Amino acid sequence: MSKKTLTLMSKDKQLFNIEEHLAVQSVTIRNMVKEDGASSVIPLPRVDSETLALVIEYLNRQQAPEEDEDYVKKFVDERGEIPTLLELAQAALDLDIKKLMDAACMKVADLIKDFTLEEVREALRIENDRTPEEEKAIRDEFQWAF
Amino acid sequence: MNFDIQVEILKRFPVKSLIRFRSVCKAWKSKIDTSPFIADHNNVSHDRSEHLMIRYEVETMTESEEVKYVCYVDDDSFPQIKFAPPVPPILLSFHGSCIIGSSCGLVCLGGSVPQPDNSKTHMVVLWNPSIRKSVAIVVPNDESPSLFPFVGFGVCPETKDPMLLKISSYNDVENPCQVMVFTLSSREWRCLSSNQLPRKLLEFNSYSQAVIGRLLYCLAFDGESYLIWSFDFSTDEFGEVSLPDSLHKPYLYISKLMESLVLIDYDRGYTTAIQVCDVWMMMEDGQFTKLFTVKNASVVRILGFNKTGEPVVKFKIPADLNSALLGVYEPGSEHIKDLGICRTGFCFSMCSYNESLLLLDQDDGCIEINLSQLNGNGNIGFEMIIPLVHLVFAETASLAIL
Repeated sequence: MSKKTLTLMSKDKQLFNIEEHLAVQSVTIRNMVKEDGASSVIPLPRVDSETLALVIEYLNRQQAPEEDEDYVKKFVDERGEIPTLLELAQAALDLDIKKLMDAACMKVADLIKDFTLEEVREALRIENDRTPEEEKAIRDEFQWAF
Repeated sequence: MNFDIQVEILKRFPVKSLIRFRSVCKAWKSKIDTSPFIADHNNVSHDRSEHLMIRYEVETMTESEEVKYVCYVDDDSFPQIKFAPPVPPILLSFHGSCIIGSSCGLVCLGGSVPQPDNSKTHMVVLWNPSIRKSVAIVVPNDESPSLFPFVGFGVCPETKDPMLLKISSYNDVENPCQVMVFTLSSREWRCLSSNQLPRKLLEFNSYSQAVIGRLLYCLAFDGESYLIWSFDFSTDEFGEVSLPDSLHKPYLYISKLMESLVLIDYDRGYTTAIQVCDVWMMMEDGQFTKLFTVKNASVVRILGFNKTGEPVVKFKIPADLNSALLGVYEPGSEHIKDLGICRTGFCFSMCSYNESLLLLDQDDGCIEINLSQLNGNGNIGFEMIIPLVHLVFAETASLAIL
């Protein structure tokens, strides 16, 4: 039986080939294949090539089901940089690859759970939209946690 | 960064981080404080730390008892890390308080508050020690108001709604039980038909119950024998658990070990062999299997189990039979490891809780029965009254504990 291959295109127009039966672990890709057969290139305009290469490496893994949990955990552990993990988590969420999304988000949460508020904002590029007085009022509800 | 991925990360933070991160930005606080997020956070599996809470009393110089609470972090380090949780102020006014149960990070305690006219108000407190929040709820009185009624506690696993089941404490053949259910989301007690009870249950025991999944398991006496019954928090249905004949039954106690129902069958001198109790576990097929027998006669009672399944016990040492100690019993070696809690303590009770955000969307305070809101469909409405300064307290009233 010949294996059908799909071509995925990243935001920066790079092409990646992957066997269809592996690619459809992504629910998003599975639905696209179902809808139009996806004979041509599948564009993924939100995923850059570096991240897509990681996603493809993950989808290509050859793991027995019982070892899979450990593999996913190790896979994200080895990519311990927060920006990389955030891109990976976002791509896994967009492509609906649940295990990868779970593991990437868990790793990010683990890395930043003890950060100060300012460090969290910096890591996740979030703007503080409160005045210092407003922020203090919110803190005072749970002073013991700070 | 897209907000949808931020929410996925938020769901995986530990409780204490989330309490701090409410201050990161407006969108985060708005998200974290919503009921769906609080429920979702409880569902997403992650490394949530488990704790054991122990309640005990000590004699004071003034001859009244002082209630103490101590929490242990229940992980590989157990029992190295312990701390005194800040106790909700309302609990200090309870007389004869006792741990009723725990579910989804909430600990439920019951007790009575004496009123100026010598009557008593029965109350429960739902307490989330991880976020230091609590809500007190007045339990409706029934025909025998001096007794604390049976109260069962659990959190509906689907809706994450804390629920109480109340059954009137005094029942006989002419006066069937009055059964009521309270949900925190509705702030209302509603009546259930007592016909739904598995048998004409006559006596109930609030202090021996366990929540496993959507079922509350409790002990009752129907006039002839003891039985274990269940209440389904999702469907309001009662059920009965069939017990092996080899259980002695009169001294049964319900507990929970690794998400399974456990029965502790006390010997209490019925057989000549020196043994304290048998520990039975309900397996997936509903059958009970005996796990081990506690033979060490120093053990007085099993209070519960830690995460690895070791029993936490109250025990006595021959050299000083007046003091009760708290320890961890090792079934294999029969050895008891002293936990080093105050030797003059008594009335030990224990429950386990994990970290959760439940009650974050509630105001601290008391939910009172508002009689003016009594309506036609048999439900009793409530209103919030904060703070609790009007409650006055007098002499001690102790609740019976096994």
